[in-house]
Amino acid sequence: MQKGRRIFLIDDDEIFLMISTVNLKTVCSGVEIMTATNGEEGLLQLNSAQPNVILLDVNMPVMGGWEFLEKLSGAGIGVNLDFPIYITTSSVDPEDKRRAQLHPLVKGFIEKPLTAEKIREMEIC
Amino acid sequence: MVFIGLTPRDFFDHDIDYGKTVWKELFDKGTLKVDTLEKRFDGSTFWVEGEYVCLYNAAGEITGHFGIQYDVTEKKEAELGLKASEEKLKEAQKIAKIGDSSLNLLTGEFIVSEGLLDMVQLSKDDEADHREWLRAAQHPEDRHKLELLIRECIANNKKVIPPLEYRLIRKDGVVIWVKTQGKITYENNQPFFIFFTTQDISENKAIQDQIKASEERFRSLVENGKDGLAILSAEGEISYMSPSSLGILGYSDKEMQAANLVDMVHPEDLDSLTKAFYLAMGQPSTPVADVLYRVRNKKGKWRWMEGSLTNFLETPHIGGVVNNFHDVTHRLENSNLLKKINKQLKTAQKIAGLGYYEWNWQDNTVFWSDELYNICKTNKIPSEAALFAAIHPEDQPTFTAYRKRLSEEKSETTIEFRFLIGKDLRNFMVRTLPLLDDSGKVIGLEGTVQDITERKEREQEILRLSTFPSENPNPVLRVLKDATISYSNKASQPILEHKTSGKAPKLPEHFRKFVKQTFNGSEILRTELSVGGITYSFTSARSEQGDYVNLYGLDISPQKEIEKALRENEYLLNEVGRIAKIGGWELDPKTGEGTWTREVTEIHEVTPEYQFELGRGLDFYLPSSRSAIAKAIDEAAQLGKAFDLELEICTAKGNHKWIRIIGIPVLTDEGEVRLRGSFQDITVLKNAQNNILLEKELSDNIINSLPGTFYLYTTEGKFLRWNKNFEKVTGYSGEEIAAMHPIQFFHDSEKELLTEKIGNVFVAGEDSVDAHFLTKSGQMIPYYFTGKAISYDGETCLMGVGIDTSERKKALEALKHSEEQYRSLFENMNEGFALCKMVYEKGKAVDFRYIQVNKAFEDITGLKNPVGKKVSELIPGVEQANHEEIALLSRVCETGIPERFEVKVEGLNVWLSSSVFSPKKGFFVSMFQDVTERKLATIAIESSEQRFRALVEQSLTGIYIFDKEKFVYVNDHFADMFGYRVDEVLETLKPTDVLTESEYARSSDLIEKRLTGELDFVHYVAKGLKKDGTTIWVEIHGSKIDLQGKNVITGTVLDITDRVNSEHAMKELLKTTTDQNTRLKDFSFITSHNIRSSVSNILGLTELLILDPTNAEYLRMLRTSTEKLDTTIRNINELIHFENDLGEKGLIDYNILQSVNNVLAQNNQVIKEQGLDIRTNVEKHLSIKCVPAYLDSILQNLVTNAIKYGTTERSNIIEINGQKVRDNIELQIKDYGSGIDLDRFKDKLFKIGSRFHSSSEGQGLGLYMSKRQIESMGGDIEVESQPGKGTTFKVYFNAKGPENFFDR
Repeated sequence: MQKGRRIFLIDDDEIFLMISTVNLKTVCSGVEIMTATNGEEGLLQLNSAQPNVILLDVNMPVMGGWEFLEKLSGAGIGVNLDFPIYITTSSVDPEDKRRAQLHPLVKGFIEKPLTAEKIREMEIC
Repeated sequence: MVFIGLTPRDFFDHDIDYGKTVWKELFDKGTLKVDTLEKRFDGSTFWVEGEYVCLYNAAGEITGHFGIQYDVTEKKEAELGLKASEEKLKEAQKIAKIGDSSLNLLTGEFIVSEGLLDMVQLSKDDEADHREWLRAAQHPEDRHKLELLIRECIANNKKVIPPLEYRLIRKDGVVIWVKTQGKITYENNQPFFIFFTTQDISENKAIQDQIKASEERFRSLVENGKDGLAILSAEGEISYMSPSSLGILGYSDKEMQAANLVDMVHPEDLDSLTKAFYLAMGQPSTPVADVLYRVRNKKGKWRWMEGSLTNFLETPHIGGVVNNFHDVTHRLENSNLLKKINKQLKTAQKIAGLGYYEWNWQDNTVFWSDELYNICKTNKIPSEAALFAAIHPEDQPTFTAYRKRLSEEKSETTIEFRFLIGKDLRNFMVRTLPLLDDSGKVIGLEGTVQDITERKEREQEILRLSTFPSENPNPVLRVLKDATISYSNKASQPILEHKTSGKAPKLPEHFRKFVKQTFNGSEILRTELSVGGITYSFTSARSEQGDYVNLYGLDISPQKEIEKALRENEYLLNEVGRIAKIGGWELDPKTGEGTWTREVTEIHEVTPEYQFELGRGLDFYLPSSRSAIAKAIDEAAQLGKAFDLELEICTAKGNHKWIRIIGIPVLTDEGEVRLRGSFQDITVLKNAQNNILLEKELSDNIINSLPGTFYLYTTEGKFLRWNKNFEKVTGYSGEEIAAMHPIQFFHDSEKELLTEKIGNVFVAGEDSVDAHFLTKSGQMIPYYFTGKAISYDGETCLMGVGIDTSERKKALEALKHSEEQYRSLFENMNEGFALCKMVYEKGKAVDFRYIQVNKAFEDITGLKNPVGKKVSELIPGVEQANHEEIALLSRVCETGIPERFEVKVEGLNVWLSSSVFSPKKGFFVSMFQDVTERKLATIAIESSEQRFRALVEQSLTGIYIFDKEKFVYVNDHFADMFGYRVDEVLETLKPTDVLTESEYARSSDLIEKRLTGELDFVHYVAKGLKKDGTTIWVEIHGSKIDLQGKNVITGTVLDITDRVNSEHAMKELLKTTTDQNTRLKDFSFITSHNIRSSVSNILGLTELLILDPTNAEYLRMLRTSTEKLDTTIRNINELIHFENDLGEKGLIDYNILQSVNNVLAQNNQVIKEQGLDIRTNVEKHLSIKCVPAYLDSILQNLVTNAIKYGTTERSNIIEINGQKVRDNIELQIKDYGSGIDLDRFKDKLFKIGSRFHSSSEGQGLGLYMSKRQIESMGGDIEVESQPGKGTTFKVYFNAKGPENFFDR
C-alpha cells in the first residue's frame, strides 16, 4: 500500500461519488480522492489533479466517458498519461465492454457498484 | 304441210320456212355439203352427211335437187362422245389449274394444251413456237432446271420425271409458281415421247410461304424469349420446352428429356405445384399465376421459379398446359415478400381471312383488323354515315332494319349487302355478335366482314345459266323495262330485229305490248306470236324485283301449219286446188259420210252429183291400195294420225291412175273428229318419176353437175355413161374410159372385192363399197362407191356414183389422232381422274359410283377396278368419315358450281387435292392429286406456327419485335401494358415512345448497340410511359435476332410496377424496423443502465448504513436513489405506451396558433418570473392534420427546452414562428442562448437517454419523444445551432396531410 495515492473519480452520479469515496478511503488508507461530474470537468481538472488512477463513468451529460478518452488520446504533449483508467458503469451495452477492452488507455471495466471487494481486486491502492 | 304444186322458188316468194336456211343455201349456191340430224319414223335420230346439187330447167329455174346421202351416225357419235370426254377433261384441268403438254422426241412435235397456255396467258395463235416460248418464260433463277431434270431422267432410263417446282413469267409479266411432272415413254430403249403435266401452284406457294414466315416469326419470339416456357400433357409430362427454358436451368435438350420432373422439383414445392396444375386443369384458358416453386438446376442448386400455368389443352395447336416461368431466385433472395404480377389473359380474337371489327359503345371505340382495311380498301375507319352512304341504296333499308335488330337481338346475326368501293360494287356478308363485358352486359358489337362478291357473281351466273340455257333450242329472252334486250340466246336470233350490226338487237314491235302487260301484272302470261313464219307460244315471267321480263318461246309452227292449212281449206280447195288439180275431201268417220270437191269427182271420173261416202269411195282403190287407205283412215280416226299416201285407183271409167291422198284428223267445234285432206292425180308425175333417170332427166347436163363421179356400165363392164367429173378424177379421157373395164380403176389388192361387190349389185339390186380410185397417174384416192342395177335401153346396167372420201378419211384420222391424244393424256397424266354418278337415297346423296377412271386414279388411291363400284364398297366407312366431302360433291352435282378442295381420305390415309365439276346433273368429274406429302409438311409447319403463335399471343408477358424505326410485332399484352391497341403501337409508335423521356438516351444507346452487335443481350429496368401519360416500371429483356434477313430486336417486357412499389414499401418497412430495433436497443440499454445505476447506489448505501446506521446523509441519499429508480421504472412504462400509441391516434385539423397559445399559457408563470420576451409570429389560420396532444407536447418540450437552456440573463428572447412555405408548414422555435455544439452532439441530440446539461434533472427523453411524435405524423425535425449564438429547432409538416411526403 502506498500513501498519497490520488484517485480521480469522474461520474455525474453524486451518490455514486459519495459511496465510492467512502469505500476507497476505507480500503486504501491515505488515498486522496478527487471527483468531476462529467468528462469536460475531468479534463479541466486533470492537470491539477495529477491522478494515479482514473475511474471513469460512460454515460454523462455534456461529455461522456468515451469522448473524454478520445480527447485524452488527442491531448498530446504535456499531458502525463501514465495512469490506469478503469471504466466504471451500470451500462449493459456489450458495445461499451468491447470498446473498453480495445481502448489502449483503459485498464479495466468495472460494473457498478464499486464495492470494497472490487477495489481490493483492482489493486489500485 | 302441203307444198304440192309449188316450185322451190315459191318457198322464198311466199316466205315459207321449211328448213329454209339449208334450202336457201343450196338454191343460192347450186351445191351443198351438209351434215344433218334426221329423225326416223320410230323417233330415233341419225346423222346424215349429204351432198346435194340443184336441178334446173331450160329457163334456168330450179326444178328440184339431187343428192347423195350417207348415214354417218356412228362417226358423228364417236366424234361428239370424244369431244364431250375431252371437254370434261379440259374442264377438270381448267378448274385444277393444270395444263399438259407432250413432246415427241423423234419428230420434235410439241403439243401444248390450252390449259397450259391459259396458265401463262398465251393464246393459241400468239406464238409460233410454244416450246421455245415456254422455255424463255422460265424465271432466270430457275432456268434450265427442268431441262437438266429431264436429261438426268433420260440418262438414268427413268420413266417418271419427279415433280419440279419452278417459276414461269406469264405473258403479262406476272411471275407464277408451277409444278411440272412427267412420264417418259421408251421404244427400243430409246426415249421417244415425254408427257408433261404442269400445275399453277402460286396460290399454295403463297400460302405456304406466308405460313412459313409467320411460323418463323413466332418461333423466334418463343425461342428467343427470356422467359422459360414448357408445355405439359394432361398427365403432367413435358411435351415441349423452349430453348430459353433450357437456358434458365442449364440443361441440354437431351438431359431435359431424360430428366424426371418429380426429381427436379423441390420436395416441399411438389405439393403446391401439383395443386396449381390441377387448379389450372379445372379452369381452361385461365392462368393460375404466381406459382412459386424450386427447381434443381444443372449445377444441383435450387432455383426459385415463378410460373404461370394455363390449361390450353383444348386450344388448337397447343394442346397442353402451358407453364410460363422465369427465374425469380434473385428477387426472392432479396425479399420473400414479393407481390406477384397477375394480369388477366385476353382472348386472342383472330379470325383468319376475315375482316374483324369491334365496336364498343361503352368506350365509343371502333377496332378494325388489318383484313378489314384490306377488304374496304381504306386505311382509316370511315364514319358510320360514310359507311352507310356506301351501301347500295336498295340495300339500305334492309341494313337499317338489320341495325335496329342488332340492338335487340343478342344472338349471331348475318346480313348481306352491296357495298360501293370507289366505282366497284362489292357484295359483303357481315356477321355480328354482341360484345359483352365481364359481367355479360352488352357493350357493343363485334363480328366479321367477308367480301363475297366472287361467290355472289358465281351464284348469279348459275342462276342466269339455269334460267337462260344458251343451248335451249327455243328462244329465250330477257327484256328490260325500256324494251331493250339484256339477254337473248342463239335460238332467239331469228326473231329479233337487227337494225344495224353492232347495236343491241331490238325487240320486235309485236312483243312490246305483251312485255308491257307482263311488267304491269305479276302473273305469268302466255301468248302466241308469229315471227318470220314461225309461230311461237311465248311464256313471260316478270323478275321478282320487276326490273326485267323473261320470255320463253316454244316453236309451235307445225301445229300451226296444220291449223292454218285446215283453216284455209276453202281457199285451197277452191282456188289453188283447182289450178293444181288438187281436190279436197272431208269425212265423218263415224257415219262414213263425207264430201268431195269438184276436183275429186273429176279425178274419179264420176258425175258432180256423185254422193261420196266411205264404203263407196274405197271401192275405187286397187286391192293393195285399198287396205292401205282403209288402215290409214282408221288410224287417223282412232289415233289422230295424219297420212300422206300415194296409191292406185281405178276410175269410174276404168282408167288406172296414181293419186296422192293426204288426210288430217281435225276436231270440229262440237268436239267431233273429222278427216279432211287433199286429193291429187299424180299419174303423170308418177310416170315421169319412174322414167326420170332413164329418159328425160338423165341428161349430160345433170350427170355432169353431180357432185361425185357418175358411171353407168353394162354387166359386161362396158361404160355407157359417165360424167365429166369421172374423167377429171381418174385422169383418163372419155375415149380411154369408153375402152376400159370398171375393174381397171382399182388397185390389184382391191380388185377381188370390187368384182364381188359389182356382181352383188346385179344379184341383189344394189350395194356400196369403200375403195380407192386408181387414177391414171397411179394415185389412190379413197372413194365411196354405190351401185344400183337398172334397166337402161332394155339392158341391165349398173348405175352409181362415187364420192371422194379423202376428207372424211382425214377427218376420221384426225378423230383417231385426237382420241389417241386424249387417251394418252387421260392415261398418262399424273392426276387421278374419275367420272362418278351420285347415289341418292331418299333424295339425299349418300354415296357415288365410279363410271370412268384413269390409271393415275388407281396409282394414287390404290383402288383396283373401281369402275361400276360404289365408293363405300371400295373404302368401307368412307361415307361416314368423309360425309362432309360427299355433301360437297352432292352440292357440286346440284348447283353445277365447280369446287376445289383438299380432303383426307380416311380409309386410304392420303390427302387429295381435288377439283370437281359437274358435267351433268347427278354426275361429277373429279380430278385430283396426291398431296399427302405437301399436306403433312404444311400441317406440320402450320401446327408449329399455330403453336408458337398461340404461345406468343397468349403469353402473359409483353412481347415485341422492332427494327430501328418501328415496331414490327407486339402481342396484345404488350399493347395492353402501355394502354394502346396493337395497331396503334404498330402504326404510330417508335420503340422509344413507350419509355419516359429520361430513358431515351439509355434505351437508344442499347438499341444501337444491339443492332450493331456490340451487345448480344440486354436486361434492364426502365420507366415506361403509358398512353395516358402515367408511368409504369418495366423490366426489359431484349436480344437481336435475324428475322427473314433483317436485323431486328425482340424480347419481352414485364410490368413490374407492383413489384417495384412493393419493394419500395418493403425498404421503407425495413428501415422502420431497423430504426425500431435500434431504438429498442437504445431504450433497453438506457433503461437498464438507469435501473442498475440506482440499484447499485442503493446497494452501496445499504452497505454504508450497515457500518454507520445512524448516518442521516446516507439515508437521505438512499431515498433519492429509490425515488430515481421509481422515476426510471415509471418512464419505462410511459415509453412503452408511447411507442405503442404512436400512429394509432386519429388525425384531425388543428390550429397551430392555438397549440402555441396553450403551451405559452402553461409556462406563463416561468416566463413572467424570468422576464422572458416570447415573440410569437404564427399565421392565424394555419392548421395541420395531427394528433393535437402530440403537437402540444412537441411545442411544450421545445419551448421549455428553450426556456431552460436557451435563455440567459443577457438574452431572454424566444421566437416562435409558423408559416406555410410551398406545400410545407414550417414551425420554428428559436433562442439566442449558448447554443449547441452540433459537431459533437448532432448524432446524439434526438437519441434516447442523451442529456446535455449536468445541471438538469432530465432523463434524455424529451427530444427523443418529440422527434418520434413528429415523424409519426409524417413530419420531420431539424436543428440549427451555433455555440454562443443560439439554437433554432425547425419542425416541418406537409400541409396536405401525413400520407404525403413533405417536400424539402
